[in-house]
Amino acid sequence: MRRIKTLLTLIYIYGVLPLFAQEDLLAYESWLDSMKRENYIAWEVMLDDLEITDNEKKNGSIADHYRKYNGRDIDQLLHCLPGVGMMRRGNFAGEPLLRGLNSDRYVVSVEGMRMFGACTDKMDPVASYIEPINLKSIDVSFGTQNNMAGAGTAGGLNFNLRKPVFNTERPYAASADLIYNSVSNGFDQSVDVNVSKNKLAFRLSGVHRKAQNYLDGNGNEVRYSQFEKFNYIASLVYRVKEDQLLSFDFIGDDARDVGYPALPMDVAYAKAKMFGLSYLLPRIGYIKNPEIKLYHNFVNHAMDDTNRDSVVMHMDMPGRTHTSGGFLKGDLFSGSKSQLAFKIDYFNTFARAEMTMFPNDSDQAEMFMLTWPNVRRQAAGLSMNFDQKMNDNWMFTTGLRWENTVSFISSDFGEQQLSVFDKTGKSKRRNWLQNYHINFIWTPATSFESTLMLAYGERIPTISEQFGYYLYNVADNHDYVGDPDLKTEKNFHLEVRNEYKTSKLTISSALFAYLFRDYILGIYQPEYEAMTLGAEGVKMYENTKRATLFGGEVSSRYDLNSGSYFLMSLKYVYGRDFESDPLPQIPPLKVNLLYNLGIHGAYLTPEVEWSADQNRVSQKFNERKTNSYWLFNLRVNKEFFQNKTRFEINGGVENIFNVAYREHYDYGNILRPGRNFFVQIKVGI
Amino acid sequence: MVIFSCDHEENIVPEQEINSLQIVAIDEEGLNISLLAQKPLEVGFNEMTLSIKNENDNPISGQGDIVPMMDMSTMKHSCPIEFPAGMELINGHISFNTVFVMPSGDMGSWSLNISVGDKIIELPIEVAQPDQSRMASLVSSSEDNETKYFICLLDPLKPEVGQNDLQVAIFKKQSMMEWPAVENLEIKLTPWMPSMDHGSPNNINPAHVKDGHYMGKVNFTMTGTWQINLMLKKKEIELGETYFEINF
Repeated sequence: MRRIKTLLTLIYIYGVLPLFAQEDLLAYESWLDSMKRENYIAWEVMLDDLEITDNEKKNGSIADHYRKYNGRDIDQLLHCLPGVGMMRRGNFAGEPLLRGLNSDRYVVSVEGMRMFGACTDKMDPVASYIEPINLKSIDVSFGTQNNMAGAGTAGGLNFNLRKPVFNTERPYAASADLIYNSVSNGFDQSVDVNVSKNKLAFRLSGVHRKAQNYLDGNGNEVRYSQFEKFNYIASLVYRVKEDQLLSFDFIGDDARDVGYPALPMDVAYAKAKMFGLSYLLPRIGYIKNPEIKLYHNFVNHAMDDTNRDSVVMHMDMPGRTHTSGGFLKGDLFSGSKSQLAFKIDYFNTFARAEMTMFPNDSDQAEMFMLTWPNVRRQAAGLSMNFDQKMNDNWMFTTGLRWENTVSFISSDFGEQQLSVFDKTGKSKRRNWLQNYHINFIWTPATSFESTLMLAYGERIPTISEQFGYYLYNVADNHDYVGDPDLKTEKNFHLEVRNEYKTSKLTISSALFAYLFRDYILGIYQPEYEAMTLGAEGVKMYENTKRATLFGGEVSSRYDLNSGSYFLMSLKYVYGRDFESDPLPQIPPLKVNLLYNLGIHGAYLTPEVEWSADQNRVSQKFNERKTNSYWLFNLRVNKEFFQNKTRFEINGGVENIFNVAYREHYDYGNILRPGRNFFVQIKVGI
Repeated sequence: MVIFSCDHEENIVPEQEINSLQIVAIDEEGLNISLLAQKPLEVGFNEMTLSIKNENDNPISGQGDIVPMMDMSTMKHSCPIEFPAGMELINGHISFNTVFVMPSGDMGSWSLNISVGDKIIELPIEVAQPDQSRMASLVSSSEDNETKYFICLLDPLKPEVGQNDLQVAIFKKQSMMEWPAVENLEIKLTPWMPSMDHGSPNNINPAHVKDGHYMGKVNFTMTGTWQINLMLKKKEIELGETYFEINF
């Protein structure tokens, strides 16, 4: 293994570096307003009308549709994307799955700022702290393609925030948005103000969402599925010089009284604050288009079971994380034929979670443990990407990332806890992570493009996998214990993408294979006894020898002369573990088909979604089979101007036939919402 | 901290320095006797030192003996006692450990019967009941004769989350006056959290070290109320089970 790494490194130094050393440095383009689509990002969903460029229209036709019609909340938006699914624990804060792999394996960031949820039970994936109204775009990458994002083995999710817009013609712009969902009797309101004056532009927005318990397809109320949240953002851009920008973002998000019907506990509050400061300028020495960024964020999260009846024993489980970091990225050169981009990044993070249990018998003492024992982690990375256009038909891109990480626990109590397992966590664990990829892009004709991707990447264990202490997982009813001595997980990623595009028809496909080594998985330990009342046993995270995933996505769009179009998308993943048994929580085949019909300036969109049975279940994970289902939705969209005011109305009905269904990977036995009438009114001036 | 110095003699700290608290002192029969300990005497394991001097304040030497005695008016009984450094008075000092099996109080009163040379002196003492249980007993009927075993918890007295040293000393009541150490037992250790109905992993059963003292490791995965359950076995025959309850 080490030999392969050394070889890859040498190939880089001797093979690739001379290629660009001779390349001319070309003048930078109008970079401030450009939104480059980078080839290692599989899907980029543009969310701001103003920002969609031709590039995005070319590649993002499907995503573009969903942006317009399914952007009511972040869960719904992500769920529609090719290769993405949203794992639910309730009606709030879904956890994105990238090709069936959960957030343990991919890198999540907001504008490149690393952030970590503060809940040991993953009630607060980072996506839950973001609202679509504040998003310019979402970068979705898979496998080990995206070396710039960080070290992950299943890809990355990056949320790009909307920026204040400099607009001398319209120095003031504002919009308001109102959404109603009948199934949860939920109201969402948001406002958004943009002001630009001379060298300064700022944007303020606020979102309030509140929902009651929803009704499932059987008409049953799903108890503890309510939620309420506030999200507020302030972004400021200052034009230091004509071509230099200073940009500051603040995001606050307060969720409270959030129910998680699939879990034994709810959330009293989840509070996140993010601060980011960027400086963009045309050049620093040899570096073109550099961005320098510093950031800090923190999350406070409190699990709570005081609203539940029939709780055997009350417990408090607060958790918090804080993360600081920065990066410098830019191009060493960029021209019409080749480009070399780099990024140097650093972050450090701290995570602490505790658990206090209150026995019913008052003679007995309170019980206390640290479930994340003051874990500290630092990572410093260097990424490089090089693109070279060989001729009209061929191009290749290649990249690498080296990252050094340090992880340790900084609590004496936590260290003592670990002595139970004869382990130590205070000694610093250092890992070198490496990531390499090379893509060959063949364009034999303007209507066809084919890409072969080869990539290798590694990740360190998550905080739970490395230092988690009796973390209960309701999905398989086991307590999980981390192992500080875990090795890194490796993924060899192979992928072939094809796109055929004519003026009427677009068909894109991706076929992939992930060949994991040292795949980190919880393994049942018969000699250990569960801590949680009612749990079946203890699993400890181990490096299993291998895991393999195959699958792909197909999406196509067919445009009719009338301006109407059909969209079809299909996603499938097949996964097996080290014993060739099915991997848990793998989604079955899913097909979405819709027809977008334009009549009199309005759009009518009937949709069908079909999901196959999932009979390949993981017995090790206590999984059950999941039945196939059909869903039918109907959406209406109308946009119009009155004077200078823009109105947009979305409405419709989802799950028309009130089907009782669940996704295979959802937690618990909880059904997804039944029939939902919704309406959304947007007003913009 | 309890210093039990069976197997690492180089670490022995002079007893006078450890046992610095004077429990009681008397002048009787021309002897000045003072009893020193680390802390006020309580049920369970107590390390003590007797300092014996004559009228001229010179240390006494020679052979000594100490018999702890509980006087319950209708009957009297002793309790286990150890002389880790022998029964010789060295520079007027003799060290000993006593396992008090019950507290002083309405039931009866404790004293130490001290023999030095031809003199026998009775030294009354107070033995308190500690907050946490240190003594447990069980009656075994699986042997030829019914035997009462007394188990004393030496470690952990200040339990912490994680791995703790476990030390127990086991004696049997052969008669009212004879409380010998029991050295040939196997012990199965099971820590248990009664409010959660679970134990803890990777414990090490206490094994005999010396003089009826058994040492092992006990793990606590969290704070709270724990029971340290001990199953005593002798040649595969189960003698019985008992436990200590601790809170931290």
